[in-house]
This record gives sequence, structure tokens and C-alpha cells, in this order.
Amino acid sequence: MKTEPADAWLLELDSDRRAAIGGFEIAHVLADDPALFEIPKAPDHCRRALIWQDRMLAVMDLPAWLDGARPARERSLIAIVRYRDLDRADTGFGALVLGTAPRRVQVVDEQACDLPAPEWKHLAIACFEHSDHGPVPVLDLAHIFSGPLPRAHS
Amino acid sequence: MSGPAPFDPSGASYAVLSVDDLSLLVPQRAVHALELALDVEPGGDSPSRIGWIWVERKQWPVFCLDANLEPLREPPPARKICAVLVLEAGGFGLLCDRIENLEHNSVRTFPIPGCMHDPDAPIDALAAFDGRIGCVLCVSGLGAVLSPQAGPMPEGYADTLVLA
Repeated sequence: MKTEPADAWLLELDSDRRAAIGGFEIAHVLADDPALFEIPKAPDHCRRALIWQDRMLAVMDLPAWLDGARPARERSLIAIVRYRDLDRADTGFGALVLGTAPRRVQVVDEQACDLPAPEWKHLAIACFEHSDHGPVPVLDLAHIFSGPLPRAHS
Repeated sequence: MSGPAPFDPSGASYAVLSVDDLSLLVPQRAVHALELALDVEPGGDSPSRIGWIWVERKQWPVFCLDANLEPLREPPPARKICAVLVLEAGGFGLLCDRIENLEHNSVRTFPIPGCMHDPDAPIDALAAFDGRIGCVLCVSGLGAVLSPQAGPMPEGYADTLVLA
């Protein structure tokens, strides 16, 4: 028996990598260039912060974390994402650097597959096979934003 | 996993020390004096200290940081001000590009997001003010980071000024 399709957002992180989040997890896509400020001692992949609706948000560049490098692009699209913050029993928010605007997709259980590479285990809670893009990890936003990530290739 | 340190901003009025593009907020009561960087006497015989400055017949070690809070051995030309910051016991001078005072009600402080948090960083919180984001500096924490690198103190120094 087939399961009901679930809404998700397909995110193009950069030209090579895609990921997905739940259909309710995008709060806003910033159309203009927000002011970003570098925070000393923060990891290279989330060194910048912005203010959105009176909240202080970390700006997460997942390709930079996956590559173990400083963010390559000065300006990109930024999506504000929401997640369940289990520590505070509240809704948490963060910002993701994207290559292009997110796209809605529908996913069913039968699409489940393995992660495209081992390092994704630090970022994803599941993975599905997309007909055009191959394996697409489903991001664990609460884990990504609530604490430091280990080195990608550890 | 350790989260950001709790921070109570109640009652604090801040001064903003600019270091390149970085805004460091310190409680105004922690700023003991402002001097010209030109008056710093070179004495960089330590990994981090660039020299000394005399204020009220006391000698204070002086440090210069980059925008990642790492000590610089050679101060950039933009570092024109030496802010003398006091701790419960002692203090130190910190070079900055400029300094401004903020009204208390113009600053909103926030915990450091968990994914950005470095438990060793001398930062108590992040702050939003005037459309900018800055870091609320933990003065004693910065003193503790710099103190082991400060090198030998002059005779009698430890009796009057002790970092952290």
C-alpha cells in the first residue's frame, strides 16, 4: 500500500548539492540582500548573523561545512527556516544559504534511499531518491542549528 | 553539549569599541580611560602585548586584536584609541578604531546561537543596535585569554593590576 505524499521543499545548496526540508519549515525567503555581520570565533560555515523579525539568526552555509572551507560566495539567496527547538520546547529559527529559490516537491516513503555520502549523517534524518537529482538528504534543522557540528569528514 | 553562557544584560549601558568591521560592546562602567594609541609605549616582548600605557601613575598592558579577537603584534594604522578596561582586580588597554556610547534602551541582547557558540570565546552575547550586530565582550574572559600571553610584568605590577 502506498503512503500519502508529504510536502517538502527542495533546496539547491549549490550547483552540485541538494537537500530537502519539511513543507512547513520555510518561514521566509529574503528577496533583498540582508545585512550580515561576522561573529568572531564562530565556525567558518556559520560565521555570519542577521536580524530577522527581532530575532538573531545564524546564517548556515552547508556547502562550506561539507567542503571544510570558508564560504565561497559573498552573496546568495537566504532562506529563513523554522524547526522545533526541543531544548526550549519552542520554535527555533535559522538562516540557510541557498543557490536558488526553493521548490516544492512531494515525497512518499517508497522513495527512501541511502545518503549520498557519509558526512551527510551529521546533517540529515532521512534521504529520498529524486527522479532528476538522485539522493536528496532531508535536513535535521534542530540538530544543525542547536549546537556545533563536528568536522564534516570525521 | 554546552550552550551559550547565561547573560544578564539588565542595567547595562554599553560602549562600542570598533575593531575593523567588528563591534565590541563593553559595559560603560568597564571603560576606565581613553587614551591615544600614540601614547602607548612599545614593549612587545610577549606573544600578545604590544606595549604599555600610563594612566593615573599606573602602568597598564596594552593589546591589539583583529576582528577574530586574535592578538596582533603590529597595530594597524586605524587603531587610534586605547580603551583602558578595568576588571575587579586590574585591567588592560585595548586598541580600537573608534569608540561610542550607546543608550541602554537602544541595545537588544541575544544568546549566541548554539551552532555559532565557542565556549572559549570571550563573548557573553550578541547585540543588535543601530541596524548593526555586535558582540557583548566578556572583559574578564578576554583578560583571561590574554593574561598568560602577556609576558613578564614590571616589578610591583602584580600588586596593583592583575588580569582576570
